[in-house]
Amino acid sequence: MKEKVLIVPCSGIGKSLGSVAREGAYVVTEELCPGRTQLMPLALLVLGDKETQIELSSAGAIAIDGCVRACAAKVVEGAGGRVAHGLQVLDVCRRHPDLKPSGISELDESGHKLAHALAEEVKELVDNMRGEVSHA
Amino acid sequence: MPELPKKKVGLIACSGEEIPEGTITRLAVRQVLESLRPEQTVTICLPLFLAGGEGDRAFARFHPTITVDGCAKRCAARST
Repeated sequence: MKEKVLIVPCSGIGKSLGSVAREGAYVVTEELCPGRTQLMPLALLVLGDKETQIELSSAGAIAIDGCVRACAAKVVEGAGGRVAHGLQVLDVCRRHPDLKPSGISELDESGHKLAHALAEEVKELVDNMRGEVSHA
Repeated sequence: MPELPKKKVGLIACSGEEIPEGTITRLAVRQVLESLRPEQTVTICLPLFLAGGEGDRAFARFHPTITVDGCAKRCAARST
C-alpha cells in the first residue's frame, strides 16, 4: 500500500491567504484525494509532538503557505520532515489574477474559488508523487 | 499627567487543522479581534514563534497573552 502524502497548511490567522491555504488543504484531504492524503496540523509540529514527528518522517509532505514567511515549509523541515513540494498561495493568486480573496473568518466567493484552484494544483502534485497520472 | 497607551492583549489560537475544536479556537479569536475587542487585542500565528524572527518569538513577552487551545495537548499554551 502506498504511503499517504502529508498535507501541511500554514496556520495563518491574520490574512485571507492563510485561510485560503487552510481551506485548500481541506478540499484536497476531504474531497479530491481522501484516502491518499493526510492532513498534518502545524501546531503539533511546532510543539515537537513525537507521534506527529514519526508520521512526518514516514512520508513526503506538501507544505502550503499563505505568506512569504513560509512557516509550514520551515516547520516541516525543522521537525525532520521532507518537503516534497512547497506551495505559496501568493503564486496561485498570481496565476488567477481575476480572483481577489478577502475575509479571514469567512472567505468570500473569490477566496473559495482560489482555495479550489489551489487544491487542484495540490491534487496534481499528489498524483505525481504517487505515480498516478491523471488523464481527465 | 500624560496618559500612556494601554498595552494590548495578545490572543493566540492553536488553530489545529485536523480537529473541529482547532477551527473553533481560530474563529473565536477572530471574533474577539474583529467584533468584541478590536482596539484592545492583537494576534500572531502560532508557528511564527518558531519559524519567525526574534520579534515574533518575543510576542508573549510584550503582550499579556491569552492562549486558546482545542485539545488537551495544549500546543498554544506550551509553545508560548
